[in-house]
Amino acid sequence: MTTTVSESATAGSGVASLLQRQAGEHGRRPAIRERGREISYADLCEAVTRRAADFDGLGGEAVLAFQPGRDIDSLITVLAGMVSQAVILIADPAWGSDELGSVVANCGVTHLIGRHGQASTADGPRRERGPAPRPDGVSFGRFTSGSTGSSRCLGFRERTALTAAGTWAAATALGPADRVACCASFHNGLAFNTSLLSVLGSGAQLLLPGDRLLPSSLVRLIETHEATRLVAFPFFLDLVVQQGAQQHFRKLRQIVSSADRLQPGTAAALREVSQVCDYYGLAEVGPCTYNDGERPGSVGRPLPGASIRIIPEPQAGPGGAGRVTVRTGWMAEGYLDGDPQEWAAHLSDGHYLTSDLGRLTDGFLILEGRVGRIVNVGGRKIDPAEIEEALRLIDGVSYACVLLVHVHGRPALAAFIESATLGRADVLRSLSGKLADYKIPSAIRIAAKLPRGEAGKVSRERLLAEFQEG
Amino acid sequence: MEMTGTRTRQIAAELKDLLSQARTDQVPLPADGDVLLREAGLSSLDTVAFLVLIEDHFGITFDDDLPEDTLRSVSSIARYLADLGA
Repeated sequence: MTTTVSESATAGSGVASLLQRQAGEHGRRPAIRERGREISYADLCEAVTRRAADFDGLGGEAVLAFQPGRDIDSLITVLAGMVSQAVILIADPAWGSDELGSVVANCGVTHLIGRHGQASTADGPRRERGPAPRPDGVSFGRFTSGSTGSSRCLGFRERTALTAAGTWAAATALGPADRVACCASFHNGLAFNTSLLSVLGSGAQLLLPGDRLLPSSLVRLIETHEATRLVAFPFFLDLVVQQGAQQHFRKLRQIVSSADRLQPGTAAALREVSQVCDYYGLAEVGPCTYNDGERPGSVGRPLPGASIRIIPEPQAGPGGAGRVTVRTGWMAEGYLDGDPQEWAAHLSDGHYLTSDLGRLTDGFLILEGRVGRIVNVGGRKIDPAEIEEALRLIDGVSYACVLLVHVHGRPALAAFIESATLGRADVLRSLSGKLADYKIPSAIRIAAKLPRGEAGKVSRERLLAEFQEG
Repeated sequence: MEMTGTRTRQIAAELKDLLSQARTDQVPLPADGDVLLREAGLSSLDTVAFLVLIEDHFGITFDDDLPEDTLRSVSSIARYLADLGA
């Protein structure tokens, strides 16, 4: 069989070189394992090279949008997109057609890529000013989680992504003997920062649990392949502990959790069986810190190549807390769906202005909240304003607000809608396809009139109180 | 056959109780008839919590190869559990 080598691959681009080097060194050793299938470093290199050549055939100006699953084929496509001359945008698989359509329009997407790498021409309206100018050297795009309203697309260089991966691997002592079970999706920073290029660049193995993830299926994966490290969101670790499944984690060297604080009971139960680690990272700047468990309550010290500054913030209150700003050697080059000066407006002395409030104590970053209304549901940061806007566009809705509530100890989104004509099913039908499933409020209250204060403004405090009272 | 049908109905009733423990939004469920999980007010986090409750309550573990249709509704899950001898 003849393999067509991608022009980009022969040019020695970063990821292609990495895969070739690892194929030479690790050959038939498994690189990635999923249920019923594994792929060796040698075969991964060949598969990526072949798929990159297919993408090169789409033309050097191709912009590919891809919604990966948690499987080997998806990872081959992501890597091939990086290796090829095209720019691949790694999108949230939960997005509906409207959200994907917005990406196609604003980022100049030319092709949609299926799970197995098949390309189809992207149709749909385009932004009137034409595609946003692409910063030099960008080879792939990732999306913000929506904490700045709707998700924004950020462009990255392949080489700086490799630097981030190498830095993470060194800081966390990731090596060829490691087998990393990753429960996050590839589009998400938790997976991207901790488990893709860093694992492959270390000669370790990546273990993928599949799309339906339960504590029991994770235990099977960990025991079958003798995982040494687990990467998972806090809400999932809560369920693991609720089921007592952490007893099967005693051979794990590390559990890496991020995106939200672990509940104290969960953290304590996990610490009895393994080392519990945390880190701080953002789509805009990649991984920034690492805490190997040395300082509970902190997200750790800055990684080599990352700089964190705290600037005064009126909302932060007393005690030295302020707005967290970060610069890394692997941060985004700019937005792929906006004008170049828009990215510059988010920087202060080269540091990205995050929405997080925090402090540095003895060099450790301690987070203390966020600016604005951003909420965290199961590790996903969501701006309720985006959902409120979608609700207010529904015929028959005169007012809507979305609030964070806690039910059964879990955070959830609740929508309070003023409408005399609509029912719950009407609202769900209207939102379907317009918002990703995780942004659709799981609690919906509809009333002809919502409670208001003296000034006539809807009282969010009363809505919350009435909701919690049931 | 009748024994199996009776057990499936019992399991379905128990599943509706578990559903109430997992759901964020307590929209009324039909006392009789099937309940589609998608329409029961389950978020993606609620769904995972519901499946964990089922595993604990019935002492089973869901197979990785379980067809997606099996988890479509209360009655489809009840049939699956009855077939397992739960």
